[in-house]
Amino acid sequence: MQKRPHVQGYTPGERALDVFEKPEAGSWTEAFGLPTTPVSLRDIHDPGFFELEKEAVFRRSWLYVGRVERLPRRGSYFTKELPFLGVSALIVRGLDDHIRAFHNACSHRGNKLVWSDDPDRETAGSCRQFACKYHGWRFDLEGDVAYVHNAPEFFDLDPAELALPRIHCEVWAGFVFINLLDEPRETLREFLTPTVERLEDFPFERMTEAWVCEGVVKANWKVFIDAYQELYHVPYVHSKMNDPKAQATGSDKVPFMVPRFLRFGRHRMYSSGGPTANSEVRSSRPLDALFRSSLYGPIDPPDVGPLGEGINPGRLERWGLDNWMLYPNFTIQVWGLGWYTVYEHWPIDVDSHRFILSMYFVPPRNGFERLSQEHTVNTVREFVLQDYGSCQTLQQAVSRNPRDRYFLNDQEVLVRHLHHCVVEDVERYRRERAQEGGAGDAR
Amino acid sequence: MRDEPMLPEAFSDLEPFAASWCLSDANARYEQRLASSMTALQAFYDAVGARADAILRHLATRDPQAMDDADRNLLWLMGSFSTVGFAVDVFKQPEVPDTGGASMPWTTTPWP
Ligand code: FES
Ligand SMILES: [Fe+2]
Repeated sequence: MQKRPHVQGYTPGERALDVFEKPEAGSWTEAFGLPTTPVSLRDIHDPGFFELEKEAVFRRSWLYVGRVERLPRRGSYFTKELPFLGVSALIVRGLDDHIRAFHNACSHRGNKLVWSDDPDRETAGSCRQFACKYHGWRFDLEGDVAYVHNAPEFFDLDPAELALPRIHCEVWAGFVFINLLDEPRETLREFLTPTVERLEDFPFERMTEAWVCEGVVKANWKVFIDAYQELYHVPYVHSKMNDPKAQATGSDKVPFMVPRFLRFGRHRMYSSGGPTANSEVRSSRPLDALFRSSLYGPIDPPDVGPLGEGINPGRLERWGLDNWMLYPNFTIQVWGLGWYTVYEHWPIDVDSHRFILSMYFVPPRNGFERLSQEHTVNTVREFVLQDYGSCQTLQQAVSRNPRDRYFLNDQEVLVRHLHHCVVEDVERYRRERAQEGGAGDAR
Repeated sequence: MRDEPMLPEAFSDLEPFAASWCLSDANARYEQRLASSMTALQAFYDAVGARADAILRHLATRDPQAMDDADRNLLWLMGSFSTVGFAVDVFKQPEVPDTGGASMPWTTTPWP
């Protein structure tokens, strides 16, 4: 009997989907300047690649480390642990209100300067000076040495030499970034590109009610970012999220289509209708109606005024959300309903990473608004846990698969773009190292 | 029966659920879901569901930063109700299916 695989055209059930116009190039992939051929996924499981990626991608990029709201006063600080890069960073608001970053290590004999209880755990607080727990040396908020215990016993101490090593630190739209190069190749704003920069009009500073959760995911950092870069998986991974009792539409596995993709250098984004897109999909639940809240956010948010000129750069008519994937590992999701989400994916090893999910709302005015927000974060987390599961499975399966040709469709253009940029950076780094005569070694 | 009621007078019918579900910590609310049988989750869901409208209307008149203990307990009870929602009406099991025990505990949550 002849096989008749369905690999072209729509099934009758799929005809219910919303189809959107393609760019002039014919496809999003070609508009991005990317090949349409099958891809390798070695970059998610090759340990040698990971060693190069740390240097070529993470040590050369501006890295998001936290919101300014975590530094409310002069003397406020927090630490950020990046063990995969061998870095513990100390981020501080100085007496001059400037935000600075330092290597979190004492100049005396190098012990960890700021930590509490467990040196592996991040900490935060507020102080006038940092005091080392080992021999009591103190440093001011500008990183200069302030006090050396039993100083006469030392030999010719020069204060200039005793300051904490600085890490380049810049702030955009209330997001604090660091750059680990001695001389960053570009400023933060150059790195972000003008289009991303404009997003700073969004009223992030009004949304100070924070819900943050995190976990260690047994998957390469890029694998989880990929889970937000396409909605092709949604009808399958999240099918159980749909309300089985909602009014039937005649098409169960309706594909979710993204109407607009854009790239800005190594950064990329998509916009979609959010709650108003894909009308055929059954997702509303009885509790959503009660709490007036869903995956897309609380339905009646406090008025925050205009959301700024930076959102919806593709000028969608029915706009609901933007998903800005900033290179390498930082995603900002801004919602038409007046809240935002931040995703951070910090490598631990080639096949595991630390995932931090932060959700921010305007502080609730009453108990009902407070619960609408909680219902949104609870819903988001249920979705995220499903993605978590599929990412871990993918990591394991790909690393055991003899196949190394995988197939990306046009709706997966952002997946292709991320891996393409990372591989390109690693290749460039490899060439540079070879020219310097350091071929073969990862540093 | 507890001597001290935990909830506002108007919602005393939910008092039997208060000790288990009026939990100030969002992680504790989720752990309670995982530790409960489906029978227990369904009973909690049905009882609170029947009163949810009235509870939310009541809490809409309360400032989160100036609530008394009883209103705060009611708020946390509703937080638990939202937390168990997916287990009862979609998954039919306490855990999110196909996640291999993945977890994302809260590290920062608002007060209350
Ligand atoms: S190592 Fe810090 S005071 Fe000695
Ligand atoms: Fe997903």
